[in-house]
Amino acid sequence: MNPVNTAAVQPSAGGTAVLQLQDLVAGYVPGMPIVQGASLRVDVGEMVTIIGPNGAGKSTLMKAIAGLVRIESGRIDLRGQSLLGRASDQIMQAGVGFVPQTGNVFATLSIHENLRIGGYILGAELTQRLEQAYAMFPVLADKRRQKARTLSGGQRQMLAIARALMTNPSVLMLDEPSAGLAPMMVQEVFESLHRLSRQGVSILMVEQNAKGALQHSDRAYILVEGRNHLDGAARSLLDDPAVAAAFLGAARRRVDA
Amino acid sequence: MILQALTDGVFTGAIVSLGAIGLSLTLQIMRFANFAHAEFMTIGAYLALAVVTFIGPGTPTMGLSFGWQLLLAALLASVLAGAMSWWLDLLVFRPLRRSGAASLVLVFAAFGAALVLRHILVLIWGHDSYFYTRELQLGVMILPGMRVLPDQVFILALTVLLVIVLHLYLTFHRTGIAMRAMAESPTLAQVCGIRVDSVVRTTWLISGFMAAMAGVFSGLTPQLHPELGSNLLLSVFAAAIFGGVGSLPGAVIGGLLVGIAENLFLLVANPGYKPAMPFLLLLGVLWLRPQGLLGEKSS
Repeated sequence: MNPVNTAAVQPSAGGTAVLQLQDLVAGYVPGMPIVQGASLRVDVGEMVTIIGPNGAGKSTLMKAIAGLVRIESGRIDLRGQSLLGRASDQIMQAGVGFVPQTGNVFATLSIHENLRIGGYILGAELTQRLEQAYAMFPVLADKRRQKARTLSGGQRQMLAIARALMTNPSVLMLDEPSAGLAPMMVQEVFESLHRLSRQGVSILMVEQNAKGALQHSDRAYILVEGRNHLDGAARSLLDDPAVAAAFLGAARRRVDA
Repeated sequence: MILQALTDGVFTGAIVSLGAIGLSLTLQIMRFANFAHAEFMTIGAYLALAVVTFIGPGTPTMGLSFGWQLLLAALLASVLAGAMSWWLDLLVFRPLRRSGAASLVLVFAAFGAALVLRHILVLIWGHDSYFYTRELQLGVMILPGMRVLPDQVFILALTVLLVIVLHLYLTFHRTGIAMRAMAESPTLAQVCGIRVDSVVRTTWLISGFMAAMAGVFSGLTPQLHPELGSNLLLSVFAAAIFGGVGSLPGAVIGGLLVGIAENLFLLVANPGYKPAMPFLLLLGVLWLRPQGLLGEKSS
């Protein structure tokens, strides 16, 4: 675990960075950044979680990577290529899959149509990718003609993930994938994300359910007031009494409530 | 009497439906009420008139008052009107969107654009009425008390065909699905890699095309004048809202109901009150079922 680390990010042991952020400053209103110099990296096949108190800028950070929020300074590199100045659709084409927190599926479209839109930029390989998506999430295959709004919360989240995976992104970003789900479903979502990362999908997620997320992650960053506060292996953060007192207890109460 | 009013209502309704489809698409995807929409009906009608002036309306065939030339003119006019409706977006609406203008600003801009467009037409063609063809058509009695013109039947058939083609496009084509996705959530659509500009362009092209077709059909029964579109504006809005914004079958059913209601209304009221009918319908719908007949409740 590295204590307060706002300068250079230490590369984790021997990995190759898929996504790397350096001193990112971003926000909605010019001159009033919400993300105030955050740095992080995600390596190939790694599952990385960002936790932190409400208003720490976690979601904004994710939207900034996705091109939905103004970036004032800093760097975002995907496999060594800068994503700065690109529009959302270009960032997605470059290899970033994004599952936003709310409204992450098209409720009025069928499951099949949602996946087709997920693979919008694909050409001939669309059919094959659709089959792979259904093989990965059989529950979706059974309901492919149904409207997405008929799905349960957990199934929606599966659809959102399957949708974001359609293009085989270099990194899959999820904003609070456990929000609003029943406790059992939370476990299932975390476990399927963990499985995905073991299959080589690099994952970056933001979570309020810090404990559950850390249990399934490789590494984590704690963001406070838009800056890196702590980072390290998920295990060691979980075992750190100071972290538990400051960040895990509160998050847990929120989830239990 | 009632049977004839119903029949006439269906024919008027078909034209209103075509107008309502385009309006409904732009209402949902562009997220503002495009009051310039009706002008593209007029533009389409006059563009077709320009073509007909050169190649003629054709020899009447199969009881119709025109030949294939008018169809060709309608097609050319509609494609051009579609392009013009996209150009209007590039010229007026897109710069406003980019500057973050509220949707009410876009509505006012559309009002202004409508006035400019209408007066450009008046500058070119003047206030006189025009006819595509001077052929006289006799109604054919198909049931006791129910007469139809062959032109009307043709218009209805072509409307049905256009609606089916558009429905298939929105259901199965990737751009059609992307349009529905954009209508629900522009942000999520962008995150999925959809190029917003290309969906917006397609939306304007289709909406202008449909409006122009409605305009030509309206000009056929029986004449063209600069207020052709603006006279239909309220009916078209009523139909789109009546059917449920964003629902293609809704716009069609809404159009038919508005057409029928207007014609039934004439049986009991002075024709001078006819323009009030869409207003009454609109009020009724907004009061009883604000999301429209087939509309989705907004989330």
